[in-house]
Amino acid sequence: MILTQEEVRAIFDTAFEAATADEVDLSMAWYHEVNREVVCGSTKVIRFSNSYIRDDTVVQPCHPLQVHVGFGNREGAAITNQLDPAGIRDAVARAEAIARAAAPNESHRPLHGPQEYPEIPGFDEATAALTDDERHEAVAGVIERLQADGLNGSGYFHVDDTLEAHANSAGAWFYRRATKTGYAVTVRSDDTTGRESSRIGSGWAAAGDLRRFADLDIPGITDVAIAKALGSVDPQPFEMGPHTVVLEPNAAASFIRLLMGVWSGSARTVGAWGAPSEAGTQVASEHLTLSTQPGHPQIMGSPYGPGGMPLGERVWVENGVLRNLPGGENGPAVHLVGDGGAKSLEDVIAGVDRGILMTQNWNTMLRTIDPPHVNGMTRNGLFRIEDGQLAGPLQNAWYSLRLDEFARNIEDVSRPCKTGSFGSSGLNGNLMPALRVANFNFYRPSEAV
Amino acid sequence: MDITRRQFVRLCGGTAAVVLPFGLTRCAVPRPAHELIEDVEWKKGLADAVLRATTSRGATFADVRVVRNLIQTIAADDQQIKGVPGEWHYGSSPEHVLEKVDIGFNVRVLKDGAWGFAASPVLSEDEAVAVAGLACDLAEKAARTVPEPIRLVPEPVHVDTWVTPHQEDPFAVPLDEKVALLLRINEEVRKNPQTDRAFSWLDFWDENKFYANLEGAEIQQRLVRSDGSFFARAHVDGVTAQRRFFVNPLNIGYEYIRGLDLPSHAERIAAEAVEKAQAPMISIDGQMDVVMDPQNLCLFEHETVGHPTELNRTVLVETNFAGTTFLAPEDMGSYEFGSPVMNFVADRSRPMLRSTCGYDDEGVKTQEWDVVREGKLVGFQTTREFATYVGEDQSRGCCMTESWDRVPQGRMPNVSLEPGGQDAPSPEELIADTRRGLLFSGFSSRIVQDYQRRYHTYTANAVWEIENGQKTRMLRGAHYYGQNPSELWHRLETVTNPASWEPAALDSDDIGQPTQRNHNTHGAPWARFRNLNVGGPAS
Repeated sequence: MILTQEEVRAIFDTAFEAATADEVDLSMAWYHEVNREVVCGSTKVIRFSNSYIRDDTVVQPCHPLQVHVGFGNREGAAITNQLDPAGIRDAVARAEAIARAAAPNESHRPLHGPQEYPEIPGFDEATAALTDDERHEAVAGVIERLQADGLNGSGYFHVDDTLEAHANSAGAWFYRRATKTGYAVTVRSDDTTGRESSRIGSGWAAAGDLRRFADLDIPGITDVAIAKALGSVDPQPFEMGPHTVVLEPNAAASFIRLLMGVWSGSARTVGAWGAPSEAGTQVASEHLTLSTQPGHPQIMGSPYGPGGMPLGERVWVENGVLRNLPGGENGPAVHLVGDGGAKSLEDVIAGVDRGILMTQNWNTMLRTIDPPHVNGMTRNGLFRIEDGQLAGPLQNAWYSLRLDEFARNIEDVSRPCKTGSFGSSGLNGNLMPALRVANFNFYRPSEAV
Repeated sequence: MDITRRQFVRLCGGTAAVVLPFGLTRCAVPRPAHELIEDVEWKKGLADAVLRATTSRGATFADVRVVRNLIQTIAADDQQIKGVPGEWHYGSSPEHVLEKVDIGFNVRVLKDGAWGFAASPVLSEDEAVAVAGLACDLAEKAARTVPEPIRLVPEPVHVDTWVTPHQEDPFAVPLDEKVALLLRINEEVRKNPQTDRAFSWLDFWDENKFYANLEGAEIQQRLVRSDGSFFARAHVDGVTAQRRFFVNPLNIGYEYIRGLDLPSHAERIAAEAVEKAQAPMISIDGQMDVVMDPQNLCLFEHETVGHPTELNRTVLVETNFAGTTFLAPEDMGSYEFGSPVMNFVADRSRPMLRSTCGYDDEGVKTQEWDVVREGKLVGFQTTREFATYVGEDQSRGCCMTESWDRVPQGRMPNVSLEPGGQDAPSPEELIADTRRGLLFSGFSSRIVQDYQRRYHTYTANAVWEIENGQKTRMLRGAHYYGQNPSELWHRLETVTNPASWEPAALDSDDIGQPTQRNHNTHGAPWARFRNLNVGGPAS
């Protein structure tokens, strides 16, 4: 069972009582460690490949306790998933031992006291109560279809029932339950593998970080991937160089994530950090507006921000003008919503005389900071656009461009859609529009599928 | 169900017991997990209960893992103990000095020809039996979608204990001493006035793994890992450059860290960071001889040989995220991967290497085997499930799981380039024998590669020009690239002698949905490639 408020308070009280540090900050929450996501709660995953279920996993509730302590500005931290009194006391003792040994942290900031957090419901009882049979039924139809059509499908479907709780020695307290589900699927037109696979078709589609299973359209997402797979068989080479490109929301998200890092000055490459842009600067075309909206009905994210400060709505970019810089008092650029107006993806495509539609991308990385230069490659469906219509599959290709020019070359946007990335370079569970971008530079074709 | 006295004692860990209503027998006082995890007899009892439960449900195979991971990461940013930036761990990083304890168990069953898996952090017999039943339920449901029953190749039954050879437990070394070491390294780096940042870290793992399966295997293992290093950053005339001191991460105790004498290398690394910041950008765009040191080769090996020979990739198991490979199972024995001096060995048994242990995570005794012999592909990385895809009747022992809450999957072992014979040149002789070329030293994660591991572009932490057999000046921005790994490996011309072979390794390797970390070594001698395509910033 997921811990109740009372149970969490009792665990936190044990930790507070054990601590001798000046400051104690306790958390039970999802966290990220070295490319590994750790769920606080239960997680159930169905992973299928070659169009059959190969892993169905249930991890019973686990509530890792994160203990952060400070003696003055000497800090230490420890994590344990053993919540018996001995385990809790051991974690506190280890955190304190580290803090005593640590050198002073000159950027140490004192803890915030009690705060008022917006009420953002994120828990869906029906999703938490989803049975294993229901989870199986959710993908069984998809798998039957893939098998019947001779398609090769690989998918990832998860349902998490999570807890987020925080308390500190300054009196702050936060407790929130949330459910989380998502689905990603790759469909290949057949099961050819190795070097012979470069003529087959491959399609991908996903949606991530939804609160309600009822909002996750697994058959619909799979339909999109199947259509892309069947539509991308025998991809054709195309002329390298600048093209007008429509990036579907998941592909656009990779670039938005990097842009936010560049504008905030947090982007980095090896040994180099960028300088932040100045608020008030026109950093993108007037089509781009981005904000953090934890309470958006399609986001329903946590209102608990870094250091315990409430996380509210904040506009980052408005009609291409940088209004606020992510980080510090402004909070992080999470729960992003791209304000895209009313057009559908099809409407955006219809506005392109000659161009390219990009579904997904890979290895999109910042190579230099100044200028902000990225490259990467397309994946799982690249299509020619002619006279506002899709006009056949194209070979995957590498691209290389300047991010600042990319932002200024945005010519059109769609209404935003829920994105899914699951470990790739996009933004999982944000609301991103499709982008039409001029002068998007491709430089090398690829046979990889 | 009857349980024997011996089993009862195991389950209770020797504590007093009381008889409860309805004939149930339980321990009076639950023992904390950190005690139970050290009690092998108790874990055997837990496994007995799990395996009985799966047998009663008709499982044809079942295994259980009881795992405790203890991780300690300490990093110093100049004179502050704090966050970890940039190129560390080949990815992102924890924000604080960290000690982590993670304990739990999992049960995997093969029933009706399909897998089921369930896990829990609660160490108790009741929980274990419930989790075993849940795993059976899940397998039954998955079986409805499986076209052909999953079968495992046989493995002898092993009952054994295995511990990483080490002298000094890293977790017993006082924190003060470790922090003082890091601060001293950074102090030494910053004595060079042209440096503007020093960053150092230590990373220790202690994995306590108990494994048992329905076939009778009972294996207790303890893996101890030690790693640590530093980098210097220089900022000269508006150019920032970072130079890392490459330590080969090993499975070993703290004696390794003591023996490295890390501060003694700080002056050289700081000077090289300054030299790198002052170095001109590469102006060459064409073909050139390239010499790589073991730490540069290790990432190249990882991406061009390690991942492509993961058999589960060839059969499209990782398609939805990590990707596929240009190799297919039928390539084994026929694919010309590289030049005749290209010999790759995979292993999980060579002493001190990162993937080395006694047994894999499905009870297979670890071993060593050829992957590439004289340029030809001769082996893949297999598990008990996938060995038959290449016609083998025994697993190579590549089933791994990072922790109790992650499902076992095929993962990369140590995959290493073999050195030449005793008459092969030393690294110094190799450079002396190179008329004009580039020396790539240390890996950099700023690589370009596709998800089928075909096209590759690599750079290095430092690159020097070689002129008339002499290492001359540094260059910035140099890369080498190729349309596919075979093109690159066919240009391998010389590997240095056995004395020059080093157990180089990445900091970690992360794949899977959800992601799992992995540790592996890619040992290598120095090597010279003829006429590689080289050029400026990655493209």
